[in-house]
Amino acid sequence: MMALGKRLRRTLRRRPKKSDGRMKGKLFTKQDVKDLPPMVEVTGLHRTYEGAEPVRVLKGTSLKVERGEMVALMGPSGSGKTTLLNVIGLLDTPDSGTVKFAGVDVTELKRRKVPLFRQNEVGMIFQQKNLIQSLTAFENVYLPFRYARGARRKQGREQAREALRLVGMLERENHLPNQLSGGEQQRVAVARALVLSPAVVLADEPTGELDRKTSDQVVDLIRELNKQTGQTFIIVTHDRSVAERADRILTMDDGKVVPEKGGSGRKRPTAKRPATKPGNQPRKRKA
Amino acid sequence: MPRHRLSIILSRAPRSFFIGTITLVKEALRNIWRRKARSALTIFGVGIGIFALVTMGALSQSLNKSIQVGIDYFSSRILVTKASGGFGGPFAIGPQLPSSVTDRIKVIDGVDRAYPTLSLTAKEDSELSFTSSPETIQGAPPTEVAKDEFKLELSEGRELKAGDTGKTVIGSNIVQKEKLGVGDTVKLRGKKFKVVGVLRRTTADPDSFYLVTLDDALELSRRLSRLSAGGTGTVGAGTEELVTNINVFPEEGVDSTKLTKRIESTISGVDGTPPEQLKKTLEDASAVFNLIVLGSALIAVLVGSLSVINTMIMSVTERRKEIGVKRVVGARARHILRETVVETGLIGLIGGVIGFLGSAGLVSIVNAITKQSGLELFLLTPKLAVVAIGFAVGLGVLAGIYPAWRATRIKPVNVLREE
Repeated sequence: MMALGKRLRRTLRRRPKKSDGRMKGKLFTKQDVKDLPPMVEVTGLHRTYEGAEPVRVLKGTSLKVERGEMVALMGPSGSGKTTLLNVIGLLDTPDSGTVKFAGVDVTELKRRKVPLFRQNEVGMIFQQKNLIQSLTAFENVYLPFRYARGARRKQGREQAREALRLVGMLERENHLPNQLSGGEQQRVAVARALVLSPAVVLADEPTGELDRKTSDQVVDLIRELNKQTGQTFIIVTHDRSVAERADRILTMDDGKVVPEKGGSGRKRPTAKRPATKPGNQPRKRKA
Repeated sequence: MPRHRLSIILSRAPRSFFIGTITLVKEALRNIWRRKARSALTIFGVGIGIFALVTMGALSQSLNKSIQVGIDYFSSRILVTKASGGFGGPFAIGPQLPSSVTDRIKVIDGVDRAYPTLSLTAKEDSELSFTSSPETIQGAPPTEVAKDEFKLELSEGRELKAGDTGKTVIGSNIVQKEKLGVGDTVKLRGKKFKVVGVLRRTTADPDSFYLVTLDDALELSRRLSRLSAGGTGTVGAGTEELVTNINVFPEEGVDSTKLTKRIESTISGVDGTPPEQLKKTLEDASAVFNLIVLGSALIAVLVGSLSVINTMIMSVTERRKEIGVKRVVGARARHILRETVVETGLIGLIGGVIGFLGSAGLVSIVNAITKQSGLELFLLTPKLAVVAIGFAVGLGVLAGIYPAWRATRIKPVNVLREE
C-alpha cells in the first residue's frame, strides 16, 4: 500500500517537459500521450445516499479524461455531476467502482493518505468561492502550503505570489475576501486550486455566481492556465458558453455519462487542442 | 556560557515553522476580531475568573507568607503559656505567668534551654484589626535570642545585644508609619528608646515589632502596672515579674511532644504547645483558608471556561464551511484541532492578561491604602502572575478540545455547498 502512494506520485509526474526538444513551444504529440494511461479514468461508479428513501445518484458512471485535457460536464440538476466530482476528488466514497489517476486506483488509498493526495494532486474550485474570510488573498492561496510538509512549505510564499500573479491578483494580495468583488474572489480561488500544481483541477460551477462579463474573464483565465500549465481540468457547468470553451463536453443524465456521438464524448466544435483518445485527431496547442 | 537549550532548538527550527505559527496566530486573532461582541463577552468571562483567582491568590499568598513566618518561628520551640490563658499565639499581649517558671523548666530532663518573652502593646490606643497589625513591644533576652535557629533578618543597623538598655530594633511597618530610622529616638509607654536596627520586611507580625531587651520590657510592664493601679488582671500574682510566654528548646533527639507533657505534669498551671502541633494548627488554618478562597476563584474560572466552550462550539458551527475548505486543500484532523485550540488558547491568554491586570490594579490600590496602617493585605508575586495566565491559557486550550474535536468530524462534502 505504501508503494501505491509513491507509484501514484511518480506516475502523475510523468508529464512531457518543456525542456524536451520535441515539445519546446509546441504541442504534445500523439506519441507523447499514447503511452501514458488516461489522467482520470472512472469505471462503473455507484453512489447511493442512504435515508428514508435512498437516492441513487451515480448508476455505473464511467468516463476517461486525458492529460492536459479540459472537459466540461453538463447535465440537468440532480444528474450526479457534483457527486461525480466529489468522488473523483476523494471527498466522497463510492459504493462501488474505481477511480484511477494515471492508471492507479486511488479509491484504494489509505484513509490517512487521502488528505495528502487531495493536497498534491487535486485542486478544487467551487461555485461559492469558499475563501476563508479571516485570511487575506495571499493567505488563502498560501493555505495549502500551511498543511504541506516542510520542504514544500519553504517555497510556498513565492509560489503563492506566482499563482496570484498568474490570475492577475498580485496587487490585491493583502485584501480580505470581503474587500474583493465576486470575480476577484473566484480568481483567488482559482489561484488556490492551482498553487500546488495539482495534476487535476476540478471546478464545480465556477462561474455560477458571476455575471456574464466576469464569468467570461474567469473562463478565459482557466482556459489560459490549462494551456500554460498543461493541467487537466474537469468543469461542471450549466452554462453552455462556458462548456463550449472546453476540449470536450460530456453530458450526465440520471447518474450516467451519456455516450458521445461517435466516440466517448462530444468534441468541442472550435477545439484547438486535439483529443487524445485513440481514433481522435492529435491535439494542437497554441504556442 | 552554554547556550540555552530552547535557543538551540529555536535556531534549528525551520523558518517556515515561525511563518506558519505567525499565520496561525494572525488567523486566530482575526477570527476573534470577526465576532467582536461575542469574543469580548467570552474574554470578559475568562477575565473575571482570572481576576478572582489572582485577587484571592494574592490574599492567600500574603496570609501564607505570614503563616510561614510563624511556622519557621515555632519549628524548633515549645511554647509554654499560662494554663487558663490558653494559646494566644507567639505574640500574645499581656503578662500571664511568672518568669521564674523559666528556671523551673530549664531543669526538666530533655530541656536544652528556655527563655521568657514579654509582649506589650506599644501604644495606649493599639487595637487588633483586620487591616493592620498592632504595634507591639517584644521583650526577650538578646543573648538567648541570638542562639535561635529562626532569625529575623535586618535591613539596616544591628541586632540587640546584652546590655542594650533603652535601645530597640523596629519592624518595617513602623519605619513607614512612624517615619523612624536607625539613630532616631522613639518614646514607648513613657520611656525613650534609640533605634539601632530595622528588620527586613516579613509581611507578618514582626513588621510591627519594637524589639527590646527583656529588662526594658519588664520595666515598662512594671510602669504600666503602677499606672493602672493594680495593672492587668494577672498582676495580682504578687510582686513577681510576669511574662507572656516561655520558649523552650528541647535537647537534640528529644521528642518535643513527650517533653511538652513532661513540662505540663511537672509545673502546674501551664500549657505547652509542641512545634508539631503549632505547625499543624497553622497549616490547617492556612489550608482551610486557601481552599475556600481558591475554590471560589476556581469556580469563577470554570464558569469562564464554559463560556469559551460555548463560544467555540458556536464558532465551529458557523465556520463549518471554512473547515471543509481546509480539509479540501489538505488539512488533516490535527491541523484543524491545532487551529481551534490556538484560538481558544488565545482567548484564554487575552482574558488571563486582562483579568490579571485588573486584579493587579485593585491589589495595588488596596495595598496602598492598607500600607498606611502597616499591612499589605495582598501579595502579588511574578509566580502568581505566571500561574494565573498559564492557567487561563491552559483552560482555554482544554475548553477548545471538545469544539475542536467536533470541527475535525466535519466532512467537506457535507458542507461545501451549504449557503
